[in-house]
Amino acid sequence: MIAAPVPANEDVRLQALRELLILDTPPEERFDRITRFAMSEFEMPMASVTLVDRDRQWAKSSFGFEAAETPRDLSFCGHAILERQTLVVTDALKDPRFRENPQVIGPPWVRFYAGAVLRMPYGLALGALCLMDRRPRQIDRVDLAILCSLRDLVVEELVRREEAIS
Amino acid sequence: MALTTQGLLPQLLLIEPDRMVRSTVASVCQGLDLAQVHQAASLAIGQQMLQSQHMDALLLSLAEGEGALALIERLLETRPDMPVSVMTASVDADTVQRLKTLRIRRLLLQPFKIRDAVMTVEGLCAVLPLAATGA
Repeated sequence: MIAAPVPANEDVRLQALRELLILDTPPEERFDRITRFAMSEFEMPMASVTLVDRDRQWAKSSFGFEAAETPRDLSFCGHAILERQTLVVTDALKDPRFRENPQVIGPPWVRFYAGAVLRMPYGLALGALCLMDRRPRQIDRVDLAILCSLRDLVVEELVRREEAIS
Repeated sequence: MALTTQGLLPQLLLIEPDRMVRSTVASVCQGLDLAQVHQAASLAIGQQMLQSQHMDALLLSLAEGEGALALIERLLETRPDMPVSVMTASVDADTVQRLKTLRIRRLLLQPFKIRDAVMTVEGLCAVLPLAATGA
């Protein structure tokens, strides 16, 4: 397993995340409806809106699995925030970054992962809208475009929150 | 100034009350260079857009019932070749017959996937003359 590297702009990124005052807040329908919509659209058993904190990834919205947070070194989304494009892992057991990950070889048994980066308008990547399945899957360009459009709706909600508290 | 393909894409009007469906379909179609999608949340707004802008194709929800069918009928009186598809949660035999008479291209029954709506837009644009597709 390869733990996600820390981005070069980590301090600024974490400051932006903390300033949203969103970590450890209760679920909100405006995020949950996007997550549910994504699950239904892609017929995925698990989906979440996840934010990558200093030592953990924390789910603002999650369906299909129990843990609200995961240590960052086990996090898929920690890898996703380093990508310019959506991170797609078609079979985690065949990917050296994830094949020994406890979330892959144990509950919730993740095999497929797609994470669209939640990048704020000023460029900082705070987390991901992600889809997960317990079996290997493929995703095509139409699916990716749909996932990214739903991701944009999540970012809109984060921006709205930022404007409301600033 | 950055060059874009938006001016070359077919102009499609999407009349759909659900914001998430509307904005996702519009964004995906534009992202895939299928069409420039103009969004309307209601028939009233859609009607205004049809009067003020040139549209090549129409995808609309039948959520407003008879008003939606009347809009299609009025539109096709002046633009008989305009490709139109509709989305609806339910439909009766009389409505299906009217849609057939109007030569509606496709009926999408809810719940449908965004992918289905995107493929419907692609189908609507495929029947347009080359001048409207920017080719």
